[in-house]
Amino acid sequence: MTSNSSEKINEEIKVIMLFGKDNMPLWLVWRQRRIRIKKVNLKFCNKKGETYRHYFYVNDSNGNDYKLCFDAVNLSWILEEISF
Amino acid sequence: MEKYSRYNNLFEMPHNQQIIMHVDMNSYFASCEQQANAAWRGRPLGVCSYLHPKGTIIAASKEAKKLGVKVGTKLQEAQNICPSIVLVRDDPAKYRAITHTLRGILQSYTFKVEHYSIDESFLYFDKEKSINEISAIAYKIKERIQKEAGDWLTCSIGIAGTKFFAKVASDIKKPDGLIVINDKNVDERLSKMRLTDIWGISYGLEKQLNRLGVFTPLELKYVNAAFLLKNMGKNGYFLWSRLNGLEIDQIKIDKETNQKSVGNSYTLLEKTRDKDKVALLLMKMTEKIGRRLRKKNMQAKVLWIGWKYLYGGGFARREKLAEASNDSWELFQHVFGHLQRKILHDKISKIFINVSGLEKSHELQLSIFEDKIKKIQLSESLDKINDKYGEFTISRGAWHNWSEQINDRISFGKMQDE
Repeated sequence: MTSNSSEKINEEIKVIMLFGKDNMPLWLVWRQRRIRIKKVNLKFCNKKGETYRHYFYVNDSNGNDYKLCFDAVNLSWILEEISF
Repeated sequence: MEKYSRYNNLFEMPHNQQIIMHVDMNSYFASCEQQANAAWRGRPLGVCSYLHPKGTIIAASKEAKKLGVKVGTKLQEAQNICPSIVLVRDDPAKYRAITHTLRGILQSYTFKVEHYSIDESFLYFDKEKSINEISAIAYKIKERIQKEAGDWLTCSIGIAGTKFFAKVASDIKKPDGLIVINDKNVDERLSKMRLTDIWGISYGLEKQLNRLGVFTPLELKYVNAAFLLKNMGKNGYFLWSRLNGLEIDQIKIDKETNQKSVGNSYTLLEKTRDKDKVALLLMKMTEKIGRRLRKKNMQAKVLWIGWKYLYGGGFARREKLAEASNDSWELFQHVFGHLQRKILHDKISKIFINVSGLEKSHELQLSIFEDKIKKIQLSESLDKINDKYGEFTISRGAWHNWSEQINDRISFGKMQDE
Protein backbone atom coordinates (compact mmCIF):
# COMPACT_ATOMS: atom_id res chain seq x y z
CA MET A 1 0.00 0.00 0.00
CA THR A 2 1.45 3.37 -0.95
CA SER A 3 0.32 6.88 -0.29
CA ASN A 4 -2.64 7.60 -2.53
CA SER A 5 -1.87 11.30 -2.93
CA SER A 6 1.84 11.57 -3.55
CA GLU A 7 4.51 10.14 -5.78
CA LYS A 8 8.15 9.52 -4.96
CA ILE A 9 10.43 11.05 -7.57
CA ASN A 10 13.98 11.29 -6.13
CA GLU A 11 15.49 12.94 -9.18
CA GLU A 12 18.21 15.56 -9.31
CA ILE A 13 16.84 18.91 -10.45
CA LYS A 14 18.00 22.49 -10.95
CA VAL A 15 16.67 25.24 -8.74
CA ILE A 16 16.91 28.99 -8.96
CA MET A 17 17.16 30.19 -5.41
CA LEU A 18 17.22 33.59 -3.81
CA PHE A 19 19.60 33.35 -0.88
CA GLY A 20 19.14 35.89 1.86
CA LYS A 21 17.07 36.31 4.97
CA ASP A 22 14.17 34.25 3.68
CA ASN A 23 16.04 31.78 1.42
CA MET A 24 13.36 31.46 -1.26
CA PRO A 25 13.48 28.93 -4.11
CA LEU A 26 11.95 30.72 -7.13
CA TRP A 27 12.00 28.23 -10.00
CA LEU A 28 12.68 24.55 -10.38
CA VAL A 29 13.69 22.79 -13.56
CA TRP A 30 12.59 19.18 -13.76
CA ARG A 31 12.61 16.98 -16.84
CA GLN A 32 13.27 20.09 -18.94
CA ARG A 33 10.19 21.80 -17.56
CA ARG A 34 10.53 25.12 -15.82
CA ILE A 35 8.11 25.38 -12.90
CA ARG A 36 7.55 28.66 -11.13
CA ILE A 37 7.29 28.34 -7.37
CA LYS A 38 4.28 30.16 -6.04
CA LYS A 39 4.70 29.65 -2.32
CA VAL A 40 6.97 28.00 0.23
CA ASN A 41 4.67 26.17 2.65
CA LEU A 42 7.31 24.84 4.97
CA LYS A 43 11.06 24.71 5.27
CA PHE A 44 13.32 23.07 7.77
CA CYS A 45 16.79 21.69 8.16
CA ASN A 46 17.56 18.12 9.14
CA LYS A 47 20.98 16.96 10.22
CA LYS A 48 22.21 13.53 9.21
CA GLY A 49 25.57 13.00 10.81
CA GLU A 50 27.47 16.15 9.96
CA THR A 51 25.50 16.72 6.76
CA TYR A 52 22.76 19.31 6.68
CA ARG A 53 19.80 18.78 4.43
CA HIS A 54 17.41 21.65 3.85
CA TYR A 55 13.86 20.70 2.96
CA PHE A 56 11.49 23.01 1.13
CA TYR A 57 7.84 22.17 0.60
CA VAL A 58 6.66 24.43 -2.20
CA ASN A 59 3.69 24.63 -4.54
CA ASP A 60 3.05 25.90 -8.05
CA SER A 61 0.07 27.76 -9.41
CA ASN A 62 -1.55 24.47 -10.55
CA GLY A 63 -1.93 23.28 -6.98
CA ASN A 64 0.89 20.72 -7.10
CA ASP A 65 3.17 20.39 -4.07
CA TYR A 66 6.86 19.60 -4.40
CA LYS A 67 9.22 18.37 -1.71
CA LEU A 68 12.71 19.67 -2.49
CA CYS A 69 15.89 18.72 -0.68
CA PHE A 70 19.04 20.81 -0.79
CA ASP A 71 22.21 18.99 0.21
CA ALA A 72 24.40 21.69 1.75
CA VAL A 73 27.58 19.63 1.32
CA ASN A 74 27.23 18.65 -2.33
CA LEU A 75 25.23 21.77 -3.22
CA SER A 76 22.73 19.58 -5.05
CA TRP A 77 18.95 19.63 -5.27
CA ILE A 78 16.70 16.59 -5.30
CA LEU A 79 12.99 16.57 -6.08
CA GLU A 80 11.93 13.92 -3.61
CA GLU A 81 8.18 13.87 -3.93
CA ILE A 82 5.17 15.42 -5.65
CA SER A 83 1.82 15.61 -3.88
CA PHE A 84 -1.51 16.26 -5.55
CA MET B 1 -26.53 14.49 51.81
CA GLU B 2 -23.68 13.31 53.92
CA LYS B 3 -21.32 12.82 51.03
CA TYR B 4 -21.60 16.50 49.99
CA SER B 5 -19.77 19.19 51.91
CA ARG B 6 -19.91 22.97 51.77
CA TYR B 7 -16.38 23.55 50.62
CA ASN B 8 -15.67 27.01 49.44
CA ASN B 9 -13.97 27.55 46.15
CA LEU B 10 -10.25 27.25 46.63
CA PHE B 11 -9.15 29.09 43.51
CA GLU B 12 -8.08 32.13 45.45
CA MET B 13 -6.03 30.21 47.95
CA PRO B 14 -2.61 31.77 48.47
CA HIS B 15 -0.69 28.76 47.15
CA ASN B 16 -1.92 29.38 43.60
CA GLN B 17 0.59 32.09 42.92
CA GLN B 18 0.59 31.80 39.19
CA ILE B 19 -1.56 31.69 36.12
CA ILE B 20 -1.06 28.77 33.81
CA MET B 21 -1.61 28.60 30.07
CA HIS B 22 -1.91 25.28 28.28
CA VAL B 23 -1.18 25.34 24.55
CA ASP B 24 -2.39 22.27 22.67
CA MET B 25 -1.76 22.03 18.92
CA ASN B 26 -4.82 20.78 17.00
CA SER B 27 -4.53 17.51 15.04
CA TYR B 28 -0.81 18.15 15.11
CA PHE B 29 0.89 15.61 12.83
CA ALA B 30 -1.94 15.80 10.30
CA SER B 31 -1.88 19.61 10.34
CA CYS B 32 1.90 19.55 9.79
CA GLU B 33 1.35 17.41 6.69
CA GLN B 34 -1.33 19.77 5.44
CA GLN B 35 0.97 22.69 6.17
CA ALA B 36 3.70 21.18 3.99
CA ASN B 37 1.35 20.05 1.23
CA ALA B 38 -1.25 22.70 0.47
CA ALA B 39 -3.11 20.32 -1.87
CA TRP B 40 -4.15 18.27 1.18
CA ARG B 41 -5.66 21.17 3.12
CA GLY B 42 -9.36 20.89 3.79
CA ARG B 43 -9.27 17.18 2.93
CA PRO B 44 -9.61 14.23 5.30
CA LEU B 45 -6.08 13.00 6.01
CA GLY B 46 -4.60 10.28 8.17
CA VAL B 47 -0.99 9.94 9.26
CA CYS B 48 0.22 6.37 9.74
CA SER B 49 3.43 4.64 10.74
CA TYR B 50 2.89 2.06 8.03
CA LEU B 51 0.97 2.39 4.79
CA HIS B 52 -0.43 -1.09 5.13
CA PRO B 53 -4.11 -2.10 5.36
CA LYS B 54 -3.47 -3.43 8.87
CA GLY B 55 -1.67 -0.25 9.90
CA THR B 56 -3.46 2.26 12.09
CA ILE B 57 -4.00 6.00 11.96
CA ILE B 58 -1.74 7.75 14.47
CA ALA B 59 -3.10 11.22 13.71
CA ALA B 60 -6.23 12.36 11.88
CA SER B 61 -6.90 15.76 10.36
CA LYS B 62 -9.77 17.90 11.60
CA GLU B 63 -11.70 16.97 8.45
CA ALA B 64 -11.11 13.24 8.98
CA LYS B 65 -12.20 13.48 12.62
CA LYS B 66 -15.51 15.00 11.55
CA LEU B 67 -16.16 11.90 9.45
CA GLY B 68 -15.37 9.57 12.34
CA VAL B 69 -11.76 8.63 11.53
CA LYS B 70 -9.87 8.66 14.80
CA VAL B 71 -6.48 7.74 16.20
CA GLY B 72 -6.33 3.95 16.17
CA THR B 73 -8.66 3.48 13.16
CA LYS B 74 -7.29 0.81 10.81
CA LEU B 75 -6.32 2.11 7.38
CA GLN B 76 -8.72 -0.23 5.64
CA GLU B 77 -11.54 0.97 7.87
CA ALA B 78 -10.58 4.62 7.28
CA GLN B 79 -10.79 4.05 3.54
CA ASN B 80 -14.20 2.42 3.95
CA ILE B 81 -15.43 5.45 5.94
CA CYS B 82 -13.92 7.91 3.49
CA PRO B 83 -12.63 6.49 0.18
CA SER B 84 -10.95 9.80 -0.71
CA ILE B 85 -8.96 10.04 2.52
CA VAL B 86 -5.31 11.04 2.03
CA LEU B 87 -3.06 8.53 3.81
CA VAL B 88 0.54 9.49 4.44
CA ARG B 89 3.52 8.01 6.24
CA ASP B 90 4.66 9.90 9.31
CA ASP B 91 7.66 12.19 8.97
CA PRO B 92 9.26 12.65 12.41
CA ALA B 93 11.90 15.12 11.19
CA LYS B 94 9.17 17.44 9.94
CA TYR B 95 7.21 17.37 13.21
CA ARG B 96 10.33 17.91 15.33
CA ALA B 97 11.34 20.88 13.19
CA ILE B 98 7.93 22.52 13.56
CA THR B 99 7.87 21.78 17.29
CA HIS B 100 11.26 23.46 17.58
CA THR B 101 9.81 26.64 16.01
CA LEU B 102 6.73 26.48 18.25
CA ARG B 103 8.84 26.14 21.37
CA GLY B 104 10.89 29.17 20.37
CA ILE B 105 7.67 31.20 20.17
CA LEU B 106 6.37 29.99 23.56
CA GLN B 107 9.68 30.56 25.32
CA SER B 108 9.74 34.19 24.20
CA TYR B 109 6.84 34.95 26.59
CA THR B 110 8.04 33.22 29.75
CA PHE B 111 11.08 31.21 30.68
CA LYS B 112 8.84 28.95 32.74
CA VAL B 113 7.66 26.53 30.07
CA GLU B 114 6.96 22.85 30.53
CA HIS B 115 6.98 20.97 27.23
CA TYR B 116 4.52 18.30 28.22
CA SER B 117 4.61 16.45 24.90
CA ILE B 118 5.56 17.11 21.28
CA ASP B 119 2.40 19.18 20.76
CA GLU B 120 1.45 20.39 24.24
CA SER B 121 3.10 22.91 26.55
CA PHE B 122 2.29 24.58 29.84
CA LEU B 123 3.38 28.20 30.33
CA TYR B 124 3.59 29.66 33.81
CA PHE B 125 3.03 33.36 34.47
CA ASP B 126 3.30 35.28 37.74
CA LYS B 127 0.02 36.40 39.14
CA GLU B 128 1.01 40.05 38.74
CA LYS B 129 -0.14 39.73 35.14
CA SER B 130 -3.89 40.12 34.72
CA ILE B 131 -6.03 37.57 32.91
CA ASN B 132 -6.56 40.16 30.18
CA GLU B 133 -2.84 40.53 29.67
CA ILE B 134 -2.40 36.76 29.50
CA SER B 135 -5.32 36.41 27.10
CA ALA B 136 -3.64 39.02 24.89
CA ILE B 137 -0.46 36.90 24.97
CA ALA B 138 -2.54 33.87 23.97
CA TYR B 139 -3.91 35.71 20.93
CA LYS B 140 -0.39 36.82 20.04
CA ILE B 141 0.87 33.23 20.31
CA LYS B 142 -1.85 32.02 17.96
CA GLU B 143 -0.98 34.78 15.50
CA ARG B 144 2.75 34.07 15.64
CA ILE B 145 2.27 30.31 15.23
CA GLN B 146 0.45 30.96 11.96
CA LYS B 147 2.99 33.51 10.81
CA GLU B 148 6.20 31.79 11.87
CA ALA B 149 5.44 28.06 12.03
CA GLY B 150 2.70 27.66 9.44
CA ASP B 151 -0.52 29.33 8.37
CA TRP B 152 -2.45 26.04 8.56
CA LEU B 153 -1.50 25.34 12.16
CA THR B 154 -3.96 26.12 14.92
CA CYS B 155 -3.92 25.56 18.65
CA SER B 156 -6.37 25.48 21.51
CA ILE B 157 -5.35 27.46 24.56
CA GLY B 158 -6.63 27.11 28.09
CA ILE B 159 -5.89 29.60 30.88
CA ALA B 160 -6.52 28.92 34.56
CA GLY B 161 -5.03 29.08 38.02
CA THR B 162 -3.95 25.44 38.02
CA LYS B 163 -2.31 23.11 35.56
CA PHE B 164 -5.34 20.81 35.68
CA PHE B 165 -7.89 23.50 34.80
CA ALA B 166 -5.63 24.99 32.11
CA LYS B 167 -5.64 21.57 30.44
CA VAL B 168 -9.39 21.15 30.92
CA ALA B 169 -9.95 24.62 29.43
CA SER B 170 -7.89 23.90 26.33
CA ASP B 171 -9.93 20.74 25.72
CA ILE B 172 -13.24 22.64 25.70
CA LYS B 173 -12.98 24.20 22.27
CA LYS B 174 -11.18 22.46 19.43
CA PRO B 175 -9.91 23.59 17.05
CA ASP B 176 -8.57 27.09 17.65
CA GLY B 177 -10.13 27.74 21.06
CA LEU B 178 -9.19 30.15 23.81
CA ILE B 179 -10.96 29.48 27.08
CA VAL B 180 -10.35 30.94 30.52
CA ILE B 181 -11.53 29.07 33.60
CA ASN B 182 -11.70 31.08 36.80
CA ASP B 183 -13.57 30.92 40.09
CA LYS B 184 -16.54 32.70 38.57
CA ASN B 185 -17.19 30.38 35.65
CA VAL B 186 -15.75 27.08 36.81
CA ASP B 187 -19.07 25.59 37.93
CA GLU B 188 -20.78 26.64 34.74
CA ARG B 189 -18.01 25.05 32.67
CA LEU B 190 -18.05 21.86 34.70
CA SER B 191 -21.84 21.60 34.48
CA LYS B 192 -21.56 21.16 30.71
CA MET B 193 -19.06 18.33 30.91
CA ARG B 194 -19.17 14.60 31.37
CA LEU B 195 -16.84 12.91 33.80
CA THR B 196 -14.78 11.46 30.96
CA ASP B 197 -14.25 14.96 29.53
CA ILE B 198 -12.09 15.64 32.57
CA TRP B 199 -8.35 15.14 32.26
CA GLY B 200 -7.40 11.92 34.03
CA ILE B 201 -10.86 10.34 34.19
CA SER B 202 -11.05 7.17 32.12
CA TYR B 203 -14.17 5.11 31.44
CA GLY B 204 -13.06 2.72 34.19
CA LEU B 205 -12.74 5.54 36.71
CA GLU B 206 -16.09 6.90 35.61
CA LYS B 207 -17.71 3.57 36.46
CA GLN B 208 -16.02 3.59 39.85
CA LEU B 209 -17.32 7.10 40.53
CA ASN B 210 -20.79 6.13 39.34
CA ARG B 211 -20.83 3.31 41.87
CA LEU B 212 -20.22 5.92 44.55
CA GLY B 213 -23.15 7.97 43.28
CA VAL B 214 -21.04 10.58 41.48
CA PHE B 215 -22.21 11.12 37.92
CA THR B 216 -21.03 14.59 36.91
CA PRO B 217 -17.86 16.68 37.34
CA LEU B 218 -19.84 19.16 39.42
CA GLU B 219 -20.98 16.41 41.79
CA LEU B 220 -17.37 15.31 42.05
CA LYS B 221 -16.30 18.84 42.95
CA TYR B 222 -18.80 19.14 45.79
CA VAL B 223 -18.58 15.63 47.14
CA ASN B 224 -17.14 15.26 50.62
CA ALA B 225 -13.37 14.84 50.32
CA ALA B 226 -13.25 12.37 53.23
CA PHE B 227 -15.94 10.27 51.52
CA LEU B 228 -13.79 10.03 48.39
CA LEU B 229 -10.63 9.36 50.34
CA LYS B 230 -12.33 6.54 52.20
CA ASN B 231 -13.80 4.93 49.09
CA MET B 232 -11.19 5.64 46.43
CA GLY B 233 -7.99 6.25 48.31
CA LYS B 234 -5.61 9.07 47.56
CA ASN B 235 -6.43 9.08 43.84
CA GLY B 236 -9.98 10.08 44.67
CA TYR B 237 -8.72 12.80 46.95
CA PHE B 238 -6.36 14.10 44.25
CA LEU B 239 -9.24 14.28 41.77
CA TRP B 240 -11.33 16.21 44.27
CA SER B 241 -8.40 18.56 44.98
CA ARG B 242 -7.88 19.31 41.30
CA LEU B 243 -11.57 20.07 40.79
CA ASN B 244 -11.47 22.39 43.79
CA GLY B 245 -8.63 24.44 42.36
CA LEU B 246 -5.78 23.08 44.46
CA GLU B 247 -2.51 22.90 42.57
CA ILE B 248 -1.23 19.41 43.24
CA ASP B 249 0.27 18.60 39.84
CA GLN B 250 3.99 18.72 39.56
CA ILE B 251 5.34 21.58 37.54
CA LYS B 252 8.35 20.54 35.50
CA ILE B 253 10.08 23.50 33.98
CA ASP B 254 12.39 22.11 31.32
CA LYS B 255 15.62 23.34 32.84
CA GLU B 256 14.67 21.65 36.09
CA THR B 257 13.61 18.40 34.51
CA ASN B 258 15.70 15.59 35.79
CA GLN B 259 15.52 12.70 33.38
CA LYS B 260 14.96 9.47 35.21
CA SER B 261 14.79 6.97 32.40
CA VAL B 262 15.52 6.39 28.73
CA GLY B 263 13.27 4.15 26.70
CA ASN B 264 12.39 2.90 23.31
CA SER B 265 9.35 1.04 22.01
CA TYR B 266 8.66 -0.46 18.62
CA THR B 267 5.49 -1.72 16.93
CA LEU B 268 6.23 -4.50 14.49
CA LEU B 269 4.64 -4.25 11.07
CA GLU B 270 4.99 -7.98 10.60
CA LYS B 271 4.14 -9.60 13.90
CA THR B 272 6.48 -12.48 14.59
CA ARG B 273 7.45 -15.22 17.01
CA ASP B 274 10.79 -15.70 15.27
CA LYS B 275 13.34 -15.06 18.03
CA ASP B 276 16.11 -14.23 15.55
CA LYS B 277 14.07 -11.39 14.10
CA VAL B 278 13.10 -10.15 17.57
CA ALA B 279 16.76 -10.32 18.65
CA LEU B 280 17.76 -8.03 15.76
CA LEU B 281 15.14 -5.53 16.84
CA LEU B 282 16.34 -5.71 20.44
CA MET B 283 19.88 -5.10 19.23
CA LYS B 284 18.86 -1.99 17.38
CA MET B 285 16.72 -0.70 20.23
CA THR B 286 19.49 -1.18 22.78
CA GLU B 287 21.89 0.59 20.42
CA LYS B 288 19.58 3.61 20.34
CA ILE B 289 19.26 3.57 24.14
CA GLY B 290 23.02 3.13 24.58
CA ARG B 291 23.67 6.07 22.22
CA ARG B 292 21.30 8.30 24.16
CA LEU B 293 22.91 7.35 27.47
CA ARG B 294 26.43 7.93 26.16
CA LYS B 295 25.47 11.31 24.67
CA LYS B 296 24.26 12.36 28.12
CA ASN B 297 27.28 10.79 29.79
CA MET B 298 24.93 8.63 31.85
CA GLN B 299 24.69 4.94 32.61
CA ALA B 300 21.79 2.83 33.82
CA LYS B 301 21.46 0.44 36.71
CA VAL B 302 18.00 -0.91 36.00
CA LEU B 303 16.68 -2.42 32.81
CA TRP B 304 13.10 -3.20 31.90
CA ILE B 305 11.97 -5.24 28.91
CA GLY B 306 8.48 -6.08 27.81
CA TRP B 307 6.48 -7.12 24.82
CA LYS B 308 2.86 -7.42 23.81
CA TYR B 309 1.43 -10.44 22.08
CA LEU B 310 -0.77 -10.01 19.03
CA TYR B 311 -3.85 -11.58 20.60
CA GLY B 312 -3.53 -10.10 24.05
CA GLY B 313 -1.28 -10.50 27.03
CA GLY B 314 2.41 -9.96 27.15
CA PHE B 315 5.59 -10.25 29.10
CA ALA B 316 7.52 -7.80 31.26
CA ARG B 317 10.66 -8.15 33.39
CA ARG B 318 12.68 -5.71 35.42
CA GLU B 319 16.33 -6.47 36.01
CA LYS B 320 18.76 -4.74 38.28
CA LEU B 321 22.17 -4.80 36.61
CA ALA B 322 25.15 -5.93 38.64
CA GLU B 323 27.04 -2.96 37.26
CA ALA B 324 25.67 0.24 35.74
CA SER B 325 26.22 0.36 31.99
CA ASN B 326 25.69 2.42 28.85
CA ASP B 327 27.26 -0.14 26.54
CA SER B 328 24.74 -1.12 23.86
CA TRP B 329 26.08 -4.65 23.54
CA GLU B 330 25.91 -5.27 27.28
CA LEU B 331 22.36 -3.94 27.44
CA PHE B 332 21.46 -6.14 24.50
CA GLN B 333 22.86 -9.24 26.18
CA HIS B 334 20.65 -8.64 29.20
CA VAL B 335 17.44 -8.20 27.19
CA PHE B 336 18.37 -11.05 24.86
CA GLY B 337 18.73 -13.32 27.89
CA HIS B 338 15.08 -12.72 28.74
CA LEU B 339 14.03 -13.43 25.17
CA GLN B 340 16.02 -16.67 25.10
CA ARG B 341 14.55 -17.94 28.35
CA LYS B 342 10.96 -17.21 27.38
CA ILE B 343 8.81 -19.46 25.22
CA LEU B 344 6.87 -17.26 22.84
CA HIS B 345 3.31 -18.60 22.82
CA ASP B 346 2.07 -16.02 20.31
CA LYS B 347 3.38 -13.54 17.77
CA ILE B 348 4.90 -10.39 19.25
CA SER B 349 3.28 -7.13 18.18
CA LYS B 350 5.13 -4.52 20.22
CA ILE B 351 8.39 -4.38 22.17
CA PHE B 352 9.40 -1.99 24.95
CA ILE B 353 12.80 -1.44 26.53
CA ASN B 354 13.42 1.07 29.26
CA VAL B 355 16.45 1.79 31.43
CA SER B 356 16.38 3.71 34.70
CA GLY B 357 18.45 4.23 37.81
CA LEU B 358 20.53 6.69 35.81
CA GLU B 359 23.84 7.92 37.13
CA LYS B 360 26.78 9.85 35.71
CA SER B 361 29.23 7.55 33.99
CA HIS B 362 32.71 7.73 35.41
CA GLU B 363 36.15 7.27 33.94
CA LEU B 364 37.69 3.84 34.35
CA GLN B 365 41.44 3.94 34.38
CA LEU B 366 42.59 0.91 36.29
CA SER B 367 44.14 -1.84 34.21
CA ILE B 368 41.92 -4.36 35.99
CA PHE B 369 39.11 -2.94 33.89
CA GLU B 370 40.99 -3.35 30.63
CA ASP B 371 38.12 -5.22 28.94
CA LYS B 372 35.69 -2.59 30.07
CA ILE B 373 37.94 0.19 28.77
CA LYS B 374 38.23 -1.55 25.40
CA LYS B 375 34.44 -1.75 25.17
CA ILE B 376 34.12 1.92 26.06
CA GLN B 377 36.74 2.87 23.47
CA LEU B 378 34.94 0.78 20.84
CA SER B 379 31.62 2.45 21.64
CA GLU B 380 33.24 5.87 21.50
CA SER B 381 34.76 5.13 18.10
CA LEU B 382 31.46 3.85 16.71
CA ASP B 383 29.65 6.88 18.13
CA LYS B 384 32.11 9.23 16.44
CA ILE B 385 31.53 7.59 13.06
CA ASN B 386 27.76 7.69 13.48
CA ASP B 387 27.92 11.32 14.67
CA LYS B 388 29.79 12.25 11.53
CA TYR B 389 27.91 10.22 8.94
CA GLY B 390 24.48 9.66 10.52
CA GLU B 391 22.79 7.07 12.73
CA PHE B 392 23.53 3.41 11.96
CA THR B 393 26.18 4.23 9.35
CA ILE B 394 28.26 1.65 11.17
CA SER B 395 26.49 -1.12 12.99
CA ARG B 396 26.72 -4.74 14.09
CA GLY B 397 27.25 -7.30 11.32
CA ALA B 398 24.00 -8.99 12.22
CA TRP B 399 22.10 -5.92 11.06
CA HIS B 400 23.30 -6.23 7.52
CA ASN B 401 20.28 -5.78 5.22
CA TRP B 402 18.18 -4.98 8.24
CA SER B 403 19.02 -1.41 9.18
CA GLU B 404 16.67 0.17 6.66
CA GLN B 405 13.72 -1.81 7.88
CA ILE B 406 13.55 -0.09 11.25
CA ASN B 407 12.23 3.37 10.71
CA ASP B 408 12.54 6.53 12.73
CA ARG B 409 9.57 6.85 15.05
CA ILE B 410 7.86 9.84 16.50
CA SER B 411 6.77 9.84 20.10
CA PHE B 412 3.58 11.44 21.34
CA GLY B 413 5.31 12.09 24.64
CA LYS B 414 8.30 14.24 25.42
CA MET B 415 10.79 14.42 22.58
CA GLN B 416 13.83 12.35 23.41
CA ASP B 417 17.22 13.43 22.24
CA GLU B 418 18.11 11.87 18.95
